[in-house]
Amino acid sequence: MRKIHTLFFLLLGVFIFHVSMKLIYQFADYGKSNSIGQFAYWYNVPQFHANYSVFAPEPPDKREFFVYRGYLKDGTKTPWFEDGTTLLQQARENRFSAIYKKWKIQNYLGFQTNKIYLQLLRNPSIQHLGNNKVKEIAQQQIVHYPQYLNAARYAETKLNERNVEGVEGVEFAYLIKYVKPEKGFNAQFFPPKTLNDAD
Amino acid sequence: MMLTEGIEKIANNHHYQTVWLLRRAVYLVIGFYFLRLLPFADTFFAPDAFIHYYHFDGNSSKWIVQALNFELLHAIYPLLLGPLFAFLILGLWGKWQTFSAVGVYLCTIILQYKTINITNGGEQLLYNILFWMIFLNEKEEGTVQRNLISWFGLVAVKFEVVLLYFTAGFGKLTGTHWLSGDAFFLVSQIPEYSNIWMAKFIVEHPNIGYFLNYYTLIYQIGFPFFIWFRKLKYKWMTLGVLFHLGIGLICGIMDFGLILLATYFAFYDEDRSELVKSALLKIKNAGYNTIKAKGD
Repeated sequence: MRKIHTLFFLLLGVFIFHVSMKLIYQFADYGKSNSIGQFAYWYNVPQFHANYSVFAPEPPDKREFFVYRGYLKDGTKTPWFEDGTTLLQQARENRFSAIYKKWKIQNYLGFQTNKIYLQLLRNPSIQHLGNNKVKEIAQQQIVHYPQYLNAARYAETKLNERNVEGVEGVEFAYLIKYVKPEKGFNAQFFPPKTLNDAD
Repeated sequence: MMLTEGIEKIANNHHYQTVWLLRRAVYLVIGFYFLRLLPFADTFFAPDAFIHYYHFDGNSSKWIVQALNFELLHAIYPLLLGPLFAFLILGLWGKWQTFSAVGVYLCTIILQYKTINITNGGEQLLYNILFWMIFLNEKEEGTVQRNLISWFGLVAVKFEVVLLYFTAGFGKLTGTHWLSGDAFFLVSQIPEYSNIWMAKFIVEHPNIGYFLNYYTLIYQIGFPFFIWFRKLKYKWMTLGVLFHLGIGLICGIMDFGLILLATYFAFYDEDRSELVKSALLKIKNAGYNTIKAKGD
């Protein structure tokens, strides 16, 4: 019986330790926290990482669109293309399919590029240069990020699938339309990418 | 003395039928989850997939968990998808339970980390509980020590589910839209999480929107508390079935609901699990006998 007691308290200790680490990781701002918070991060990431917020603290309040177009060799541009609406329609026809996840992939291309771009715009070390210069620097820098290159590659692939000929460059944008009309509409355009560029 | 009795009671109270049921429910959901990804496997897992490789700089387990993020290993995803189904079949068949549980856990977490950017809370819950499911024992026989480990594994699975509801529920209380009651209205107006019919219906019947908003809030906040009371938990789980099927059918996030519903079996009492298990086995035997009779 002594063995069982020892095992019980050993398992109880492991469980309490695990629960504590999970709670600290879930609710503490580990980036700014002390060594316990950093230890909880080390313990949980990556194998126990989870984001359980599920529409908390606020629900989504906007529709997002990833749009792209081609720059053609004759100097013209194709119309803007958007794949998300069609994918969502297909996903609605069969709720059990994986098409919703395909929608999520293309949506994330815009979301992630925009996230990086906003970080570049907020770079505190260049704010004194003024808005126009900050924007210029951000545009120069964003083209080197894998998120941007991934989105450009997607646009190029999809234009090929649409049999658009003579494409020599691509441009894409991330559009946000808020549910509440007073919050309006945002559009973030990213610098065009010439194809066959050395990345 | 009471402590000794308590430990003895836990050690001798083996939840093998609950474990049996939970494992089958979770493995069937994983089977469904990856089967529907199979036709588009290259879209999600191939080296040229459009999902950005997000690499967590965590502890040393990152070398295994995020294996598909390493350039040299980008193309090996079929070597995980194939064995995953083999491990699932072994697990469903009840063979080599610990070995198959380790296999299911490793294949699932490595594949999911390739697509971590597009996973939801349900998918992240899945690999968390699969880790603890390695320690579960679904066989009636087993040493007291083995059963004690299994009991703790089951408690850890329950904790993970409770943590999800706790975080989701109480997190909503820190915002404004869930408290004011217009959160469901906002969600219903976004095509990603709704449909044309629902968007129109909620605009025309705002009270239904308010009701569904507070239903979500009360359900998620109540779950971590009511799930521990025998008299309340089955009623609460019934509300959960409606809640998650609603999210699946209206919002379209079907995998989230199915994963959560599968985990509900962890909270079943042993006698209830026995009833469900024997009903399932009767259906299985009836099907087997029908096939056999046709064969004759």
